[in-house]
Amino acid sequence: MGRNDDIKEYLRGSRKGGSANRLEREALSDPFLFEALEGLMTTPGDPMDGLIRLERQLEERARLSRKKRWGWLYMAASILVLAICGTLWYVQSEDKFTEPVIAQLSSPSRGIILEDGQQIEVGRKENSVAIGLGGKDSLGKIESPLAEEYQRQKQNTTRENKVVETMGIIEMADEVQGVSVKRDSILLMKSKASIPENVVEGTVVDEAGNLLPGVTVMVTGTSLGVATNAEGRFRLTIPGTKAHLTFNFIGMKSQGCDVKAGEQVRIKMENVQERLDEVVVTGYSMVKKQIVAGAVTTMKASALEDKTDVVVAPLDVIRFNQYVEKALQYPKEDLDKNNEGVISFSFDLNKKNTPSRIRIQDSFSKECNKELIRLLSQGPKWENSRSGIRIHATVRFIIGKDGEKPKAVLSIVEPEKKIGQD
Amino acid sequence: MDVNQVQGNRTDEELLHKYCAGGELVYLVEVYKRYMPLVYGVALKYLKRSEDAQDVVMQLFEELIGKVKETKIESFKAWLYTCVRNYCLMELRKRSRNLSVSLDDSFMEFCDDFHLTITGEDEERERALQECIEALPEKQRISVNHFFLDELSYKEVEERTGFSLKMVKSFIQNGKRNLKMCLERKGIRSYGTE
Repeated sequence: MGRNDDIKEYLRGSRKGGSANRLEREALSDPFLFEALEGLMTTPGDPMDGLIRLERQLEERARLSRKKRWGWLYMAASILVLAICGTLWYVQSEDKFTEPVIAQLSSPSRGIILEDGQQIEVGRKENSVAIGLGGKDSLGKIESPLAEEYQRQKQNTTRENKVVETMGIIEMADEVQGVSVKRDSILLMKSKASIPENVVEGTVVDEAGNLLPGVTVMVTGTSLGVATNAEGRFRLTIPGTKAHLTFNFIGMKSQGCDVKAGEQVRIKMENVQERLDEVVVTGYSMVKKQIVAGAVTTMKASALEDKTDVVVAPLDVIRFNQYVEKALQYPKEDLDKNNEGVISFSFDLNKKNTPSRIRIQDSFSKECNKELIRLLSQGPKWENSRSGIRIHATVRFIIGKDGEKPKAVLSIVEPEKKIGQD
Repeated sequence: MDVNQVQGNRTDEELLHKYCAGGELVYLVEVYKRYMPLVYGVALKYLKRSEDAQDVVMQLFEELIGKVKETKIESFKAWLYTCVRNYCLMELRKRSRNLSVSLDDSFMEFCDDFHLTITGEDEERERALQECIEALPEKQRISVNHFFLDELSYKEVEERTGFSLKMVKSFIQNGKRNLKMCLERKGIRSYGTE
C-alpha cells in the first residue's frame, strides 16, 4: 500500500521533496495516476475525508459478506436443530398410557408398596376394597364389581388357577390411577392422559419462623411461578414429576429446592448479610472517586431535574475512551514535534449508532484529525445514545511525560447550555 | 483483521485468483482497496462532486463482483482504469446531454519515465542526453533539470524559478517530449519504451 500512502502524503503535505517528485514523475508515465491526482487536487474540500470514508465502507463490505456466509450456516444449523427438537417433542407426546409398574403386592392381600416406598393398605370392607395411604383414612375405593371379583377369586384359588385380570379406576386424592388386579398382584398404573399436571405445595417462612407472603416461587429456568399467599403458602403446578424451584424475596437470599410432584415443602429464607457499600457508578465498572478521569460530571439534583433527554449516554463515552486507550495511534509527526492539543468537532450518529458526517471545527493538527476520524469510525457503536442528533465534543490529545504513553480523551460538549451550574 | 495483514504481500493476480476460486469478497475488497484512491480521484475529476465520486467507487465495486469473474484480466490496474472511465462517462451521459470532457489529457503523452540521471554506464547515451538537454529552449531546459536531475517537485520548481505551476508542468512535459524526439533522432532509444 506504499503508493497509496505516498498519495495521501502528497495530498496532505507540502508537495515538496523527493517522494513528491517521484509521484509526479510516475504520474507522467501512468495516466491512471495522472488523472486521479488531477481529480483529487482540483476538487474543492479535503479529499482525505472521502478516502477514509471509502476505506471504511470497503472494509464494512468485506465484513458483511463474511458475516453473510456464516449467517447462512447458522440459519441452516438452527433450522436443523429446530427440526430435531420438533421431532423429539412430537415423539414424546405420543405415548399416553404407559404402564410402568409403580406398585406391587407386598404380601398377599396385606398391602402394596408404591415405588417411592409408601405403603398402601388394602383391606376388605364389605363390597369394596379400600385403599389407604400410610395409615390414614381411606382415600378412595375401588368400584364394587372389582371387589367382588377379587373376593370370588380368593375363594376359588384352591380349585382353579385362572388368572383373572380386571382393570378399574381409583381416585387417590387428586390423581386418577389405573388399577389392574391380577391373581396375586395389584398394579397401579399412571395414565398420563387423564392425570392433571403435578402439583407441589408448600410454606415459606423466614429465619424466625414467621410466615412470608409475597415470596416468588419459580420453576427454575422457566416462566412458571406463583407467589406465596398471606399465610406464606403456595401451590404450584410443575411440568413432570420432578422440578427445581427457586424462591426469591427482596432482602433475602434466594433459595433453591428440588421437589417432586405431590410433595409438601417447607422453605426457610435467610436474610441477606452484606450491606451495600457506597460506590461511585460510572457505567459498568466501579471506580474510586479520585481516579475517575474526564467523563464524570458532578451535578446537583436540581440540574438533573432540569435536563431534557440525555442525548449521549456517559457509558458510550467511557466505552469510546477505553477503545481509544487501546487503539490510539498517535501520529508520529506530532509525537516528534511534541505537538498536542484539543480538537473540537461534531458528528451525527446514524441509524447504526455509528459516528458519521464528522465535522472538525477547530484543530491543532491535520494528522490528529485523521486519527480522530479513524478512531470514531472504527470504534464501538454508541448504542446507548440517541441517533439522528448532532453531537458536539472535544478530544484532547496528550503526549504524556516521562514514559507515559500518549493518550486521547473525548468529552461531550453541550452546545448551548453550560454544564456544572452549581 | 488478520486477513488484511496476510494479504499485504500478495500480488493482484493472486488475490483475484483467490476471489474467483472461493467467491469470498474479502479478497476482491483487498485488491480494490489498493487502487481505490485512483478510482476515487478519477471519479472526482469527471463528476466533480465528492459524494458522487464516492458513490461511483462503491457502485463500481458492486459491478466488479460479477465482472471480475467473467473477464480474463491481463493487468488489473489497466483494466480497472478503463472500467472507471467508462463508468464515469456513462454517468455523465445519463446526467446531461452535453458531454464535455476536458481534452488536455489526450494531449498528454504517457511514456515511461526515462531516468535522466547520469549513471556513467553508457557513455554514448550520456553524451547524447547532454546535447539534447542543451538544445532545449531555455525555460524547458531549466525545468527539466530541476525536475529530473535535481528531483524537485513541481512546487519546488515553481518556487525556484518563479514560473507558475501550470507553466512548470507544461515545460516539463514538452521538454520531456522534445528530449525523447531528440534522442530518437540520434538513434538512442529511451529506457523502458519496449
